[in-house]
Amino acid sequence: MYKQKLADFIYLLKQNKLFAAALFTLVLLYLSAIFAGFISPYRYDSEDRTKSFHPPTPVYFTDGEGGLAWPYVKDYEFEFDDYHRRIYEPVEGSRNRLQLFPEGEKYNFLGLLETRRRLFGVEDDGKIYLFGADSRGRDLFSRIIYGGRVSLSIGLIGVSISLLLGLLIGGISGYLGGLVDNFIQRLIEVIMLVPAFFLLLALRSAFPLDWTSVRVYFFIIIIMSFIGWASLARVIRGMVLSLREKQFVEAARVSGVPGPVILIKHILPNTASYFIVAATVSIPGYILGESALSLLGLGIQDPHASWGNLLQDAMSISQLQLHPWVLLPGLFIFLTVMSFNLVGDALRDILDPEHEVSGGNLV
Amino acid sequence: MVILSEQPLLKLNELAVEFYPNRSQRSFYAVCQVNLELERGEVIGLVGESGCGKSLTGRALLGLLPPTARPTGKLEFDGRQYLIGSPAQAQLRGRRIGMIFQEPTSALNPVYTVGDQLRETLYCLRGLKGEENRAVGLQLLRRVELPEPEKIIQQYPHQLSGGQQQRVLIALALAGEPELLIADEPATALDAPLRRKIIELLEELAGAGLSVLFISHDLSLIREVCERSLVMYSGYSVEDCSFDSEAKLDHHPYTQGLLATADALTAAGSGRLPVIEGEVPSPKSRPSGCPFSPRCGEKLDQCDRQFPPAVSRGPGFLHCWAREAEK
Amino acid sequence: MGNVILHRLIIAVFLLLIVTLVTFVLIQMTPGNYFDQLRANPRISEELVESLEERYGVDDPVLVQYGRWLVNLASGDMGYSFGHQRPITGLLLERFGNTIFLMLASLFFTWAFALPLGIYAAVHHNRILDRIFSFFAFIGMSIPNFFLCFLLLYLASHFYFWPIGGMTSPHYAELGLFARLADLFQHMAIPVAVIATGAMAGLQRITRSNMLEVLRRQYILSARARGLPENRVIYRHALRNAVNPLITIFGYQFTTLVSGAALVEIIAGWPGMGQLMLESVQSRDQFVVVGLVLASGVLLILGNLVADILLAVVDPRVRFGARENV
Repeated sequence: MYKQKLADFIYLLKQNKLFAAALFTLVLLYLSAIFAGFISPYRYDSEDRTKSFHPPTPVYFTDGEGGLAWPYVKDYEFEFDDYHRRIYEPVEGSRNRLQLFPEGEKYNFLGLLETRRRLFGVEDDGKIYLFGADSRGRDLFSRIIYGGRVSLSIGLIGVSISLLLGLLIGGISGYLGGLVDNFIQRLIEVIMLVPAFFLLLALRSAFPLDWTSVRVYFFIIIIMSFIGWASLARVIRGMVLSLREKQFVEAARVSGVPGPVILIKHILPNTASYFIVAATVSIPGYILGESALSLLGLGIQDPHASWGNLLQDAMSISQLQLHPWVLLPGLFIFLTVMSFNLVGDALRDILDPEHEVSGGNLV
Repeated sequence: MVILSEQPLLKLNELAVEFYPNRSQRSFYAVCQVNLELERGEVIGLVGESGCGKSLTGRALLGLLPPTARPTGKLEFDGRQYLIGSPAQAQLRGRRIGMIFQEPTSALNPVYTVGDQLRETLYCLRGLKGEENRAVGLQLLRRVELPEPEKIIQQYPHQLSGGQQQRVLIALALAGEPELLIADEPATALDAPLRRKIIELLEELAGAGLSVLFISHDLSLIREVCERSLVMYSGYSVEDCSFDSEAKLDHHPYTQGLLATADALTAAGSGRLPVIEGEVPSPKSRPSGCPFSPRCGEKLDQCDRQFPPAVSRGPGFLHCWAREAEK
Repeated sequence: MGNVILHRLIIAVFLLLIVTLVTFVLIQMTPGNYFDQLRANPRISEELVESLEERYGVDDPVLVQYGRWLVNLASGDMGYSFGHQRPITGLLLERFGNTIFLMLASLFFTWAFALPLGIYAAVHHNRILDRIFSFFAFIGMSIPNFFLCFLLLYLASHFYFWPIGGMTSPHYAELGLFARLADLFQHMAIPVAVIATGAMAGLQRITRSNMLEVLRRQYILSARARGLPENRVIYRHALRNAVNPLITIFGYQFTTLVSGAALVEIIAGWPGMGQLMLESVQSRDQFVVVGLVLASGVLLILGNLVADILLAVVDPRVRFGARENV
């Protein structure tokens, strides 16, 4: 059966170009997060206060006289305007040539070795800001690549924990029934009673606001999984209830297979298709939840980067107006969410066409 | 009661229905070749195992095929030609040809009362309004022998029993005073006693001059109700005959198989049922030549090469190489 | 039907009690409260803080505090907001009203556009407009609320065609009635557009797939076979049945909408419950947090209640308690 599904999957890749593109985007994003040190030209916390809100530096391929040139970026100079805002202008004729595999700041490659090799950079003391810089002159492109580590991993880990909890608790609830089921159902109702955003904030408010980013990272995963398992458990319970009456389960029970074994070996595997789809369409909810918390300053703290806290600069309308590139991290969130939705849609078509699965986004 | 006139009421010639599921799947014929003639007041059966294309044939007569279907063939009703699926054919629906379906429970709109649906149909088909509409509606319900019609019209479909629902559907199908009623397995989903009563009602209506095309997989039922029957197999009408017990015809091998099963069922407790080995082929993988040849006990060489031409016999016809060879 | 609703309400009240209790205990467990911030303020004397602490009994056991809170709640008193220096009940009602106002406007646009678009797409299945709608619905479903909000705010500020931020302009008080309304609507436009976009995209997709499914049902075939005109079959027979399950969606959508709206409120500066929640969490204004958890829970219950009642009104099978899938 799984061979058949695999064949379907390959067929789908060929037929559905959007699905293939979405899958490709996701692979690219995750790879760039894993190899963030190599791909980004600078460290996420490497500041240059003289370059506060430096605009994006376009890469030029021509020498200005119609001929081709080795790609380069220009130097920028700024002047203060009447409101003490920096107005950047490119320096005519300046040319900082791009370099492949230059030595940059030190970073740890996959936790294996310390190295300075990076994918690209510019010559000498020039700076390349593909996506512009933030208030402290940190390269937004590098920070987005690093931020992907937080935002993209939170989705995967959060969903795994939620699914595990949902599968176990929902499975037990549906299989045992009776008092246990009743208790679990009430618990689910309590969690689902309050809108996710308010619950998230209330839970967050119960813990110190000045935690370190690492602690907050794990904490966010825990509270989002705590909220997220409820709706999944409810669906699993329903599926288990109907599966429990099936003949193969009856047969196993009659032949003396113990309850937990029946649940784990015979019932839960039958919910696998639903699970793969539910997982895919739920991931965006976790990514958005983390982004929202970090955006509001309750999540990952500076100098660490996540796509949500990078967007904090956009919270002030005057900043947004002057430096629209601070919106770029949002574009990455959008791309990721859309890719997961596309992949989820396509997976549903081949795996689980009967159930209308909804991600139930947190925000 | 057969009223003889120059033209048959309904004449269907070489009906074929081809399906185009989507771009990545190949098209296929669900109905390949069906010929049918029906006189005024006649009750005709359309019989065959499920998956033979009986229901599609019925739906094609009303131009009610799924959007992925492309029908071809000639349809003549009351001497006029219609293009299948055309707006002109759609005008026949309800007004000249009515249809009822297998599952009465799902064939009534659950959110409107019986009265609503009856009133609406009478208004749309005959322009009746107000008191007259109501009176005609009640009369229709009485005609299908529903007790307490005044109460029934206030009820929602889910409040009625399956038998009552089917009667309501018959009443709705008769609202436009059609000359022909297509009954697609009208009693299959009902319990045995109710089934009997619905059949009796249909027989009564037929006795009052209504032509009926009775679609069923149950040959013993068809044999009992209909004067003449069309046997369908895998998209083909293979035989047109009558099942008068007197005339033991040389039937098509498929018909003989069906008859043997039906006889065994009637003679209760006869032990093992003689069934035709094998299954109806899927329209996507229909064998060449006569589609019945892989299951046929009298298969000849030419059977899987070409579909046999029609041989007329009495009032009907027959498509079979073996029977032709016997002559 | 009335019994079912009453039963649900009782359970809801019971659940609300548990939720507020848990929130209370959690907040109490946290080191630090609003008074620590007061203490850190050198201009406020230690004695004043202590007298305040005594007045609000923050040193009592949690259950005692919770009990007192419940008793006061029964008389409509939800406590005092230290941050806003005013009773919470009034503050909350004001913000609750603003949020409801925003939600109702968003819901109106969501349904007004999503339903016709979904129906059109289903009736013209796989035609060019159906595909275009599906494409935009997909974008709308995937674009994060906050990102869209930032984008619109940026456009509005860049081209300066619209006053943004908050609920009204600073000179609101000086305006005449119509100018006031115009000002209010302009401030609403962006948050409403953002909230409605996501909801609309989802609803359009669901309407379309529901309608497609209903059009395949036997009673539609039967209505056509009866000779009813095509328009009547679609708009009277199919539509009613396709819309009924959407009402359940309404309850569910309300849940996600309340969450989504909260974040949009904060970004667009709309003085609603979401914004108040963030402020209170940041300033550790604990009674306001509990009050907001309660209020948002009530909002959800109200939404689902409305959905239940609407469903009973439109669907006879629910009204008569038939146990069948709707």
